[in-house]
Amino acid sequence: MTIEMQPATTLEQPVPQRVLVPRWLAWQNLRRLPLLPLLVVALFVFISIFGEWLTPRPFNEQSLRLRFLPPAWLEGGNIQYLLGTDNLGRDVLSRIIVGAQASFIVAIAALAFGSAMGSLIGLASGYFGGRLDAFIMRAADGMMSFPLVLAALLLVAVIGPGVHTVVIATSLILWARFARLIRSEVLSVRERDFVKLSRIAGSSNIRIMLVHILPNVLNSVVVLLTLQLGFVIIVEATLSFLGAGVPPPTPTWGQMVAGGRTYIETAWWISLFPGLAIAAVVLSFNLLGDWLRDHLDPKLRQL
Amino acid sequence: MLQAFVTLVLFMIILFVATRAAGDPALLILPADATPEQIQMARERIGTDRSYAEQFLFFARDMATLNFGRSIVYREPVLDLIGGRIAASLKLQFTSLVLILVTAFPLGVYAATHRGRFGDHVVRLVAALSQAAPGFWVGLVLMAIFSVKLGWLPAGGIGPGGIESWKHYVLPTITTSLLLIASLTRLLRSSMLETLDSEFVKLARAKGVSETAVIWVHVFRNALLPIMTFMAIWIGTAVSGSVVVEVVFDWPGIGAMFVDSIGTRDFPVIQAIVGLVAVSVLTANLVVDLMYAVVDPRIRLAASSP
Repeated sequence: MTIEMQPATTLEQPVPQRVLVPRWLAWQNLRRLPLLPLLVVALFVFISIFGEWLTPRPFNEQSLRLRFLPPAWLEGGNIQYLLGTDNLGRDVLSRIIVGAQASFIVAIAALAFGSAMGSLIGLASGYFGGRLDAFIMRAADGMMSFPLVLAALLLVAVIGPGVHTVVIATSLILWARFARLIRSEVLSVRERDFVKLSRIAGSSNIRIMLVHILPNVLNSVVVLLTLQLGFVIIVEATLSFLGAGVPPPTPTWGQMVAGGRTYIETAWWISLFPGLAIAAVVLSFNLLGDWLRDHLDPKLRQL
Repeated sequence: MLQAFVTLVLFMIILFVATRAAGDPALLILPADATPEQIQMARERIGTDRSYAEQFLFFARDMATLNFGRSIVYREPVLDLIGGRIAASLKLQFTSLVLILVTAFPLGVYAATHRGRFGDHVVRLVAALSQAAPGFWVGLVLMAIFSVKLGWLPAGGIGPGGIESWKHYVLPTITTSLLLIASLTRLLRSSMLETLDSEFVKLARAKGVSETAVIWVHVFRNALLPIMTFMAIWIGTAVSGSVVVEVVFDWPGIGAMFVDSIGTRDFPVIQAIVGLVAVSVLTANLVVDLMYAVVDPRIRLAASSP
């Protein structure tokens, strides 16, 4: 159902070697670089790696005296607890900083796994075509339309909650998205003359796929990776919120929002700030992805 | 049709394997201190003493006849338990669908026809924000503002029923539809812009077709095509979203029940809900495929000529 590109004309132009760096790092493109999203993303990566050493308070320090402290700028707030404390007297800001790591790890693992699987499957599907292709695309359609939260929860019931469950559940959807995109790109690349010439020269299928076709579709993989980052982070947070994500005591943003739910009438800050963190990071990744797509691969605008 | 059926069978096999991989259902319904004789009896009653092939046939028969067995937790037939809950979920899905249709289409068309102007920027900004904010959090924030702070709307539940309970629908409906409104608006906008750029639109304008007719007759209809391809995916997103919303707003729907039964490992309920959702998703996919042919004559013609 994806709109496929017309096969390239038979008059082969010199193959534009799509090297990432020079063209999109050119100054006229950099000029409109989304700086704020880049900063947010850089901060996110930084605290994901070094978070535990950056917290103003120990993130698991509990204090019965300091329960439900409001943010520092409100009446009764304490400057040492900038964003307030939760129902166990833990510092909300410190837990947000440490909680970034769970999102980061899940996002990296799920994307690495899902994109690698999806790209290889899409490559084979587009290259070989025929029944294999029809079957794979049917499976991908089925995977993509099945509600992810349901699949993930089912998986939790069968193999228990944890990082691995979230990663597997997310990859189940991701591979299909990558396979679909890569396959439609491969369909056009495989008709190009350099592929035919390589076949005449005696290259094996594996070599044609990996050496000649894959580099030509890598741009799309990079764009899709960036666009899916936000999606994966939301999925991780949603599963954490439903109690199906990374289990406590490791703090995650989704878990923190869920923990504040009971106290929403009095202590709204427990839920508000972790949610803001999720929204800020996801928005930044989405904006970066949009920008990257417009500069690397404008024909993907429909994604 | 055949493909949908094959997908369904494949899916049932996956569901069967998944639920059996979690352990023998006979052990799950018995207390932990059951004697071996009791276990054996339970196995014979449920049928798990037979071969897996036979078990699967029973499983498929039960699914097809809506005979889902009894809930392990509530000790009641699953069908009685989920009947009312499906109704509650569908009501919420319906109000959300209405809200999506009356907001996303005008917004998308407006943004596309006013490209680069102030209104376009506002629409795009709000859409980008709505896509980034997780649904469960949006629900909580709305609740904190409109229920707790302002006291205008109830914080949860479905209400006593009837027209007076409309207030209970407002926040869950907005939360459920927000993400889909944003996605649909953005997609409609970009898809219309692409169509506005094409040759036949220029021709229509050149021969003097009014701007209104160009937008609604030529552009809008063609811009719908890419949207239909995404509809099947959105059905899944909508179900995922409603699970979260039902949990946040204590909505007595099937999604909230699913989360509960995951917590208690109530497998008869779990497999009934997953089975029903799978069938609805597949049916919806089929309908989308058929509608696609109605909207786009090219596909209809391609399908009828071999």
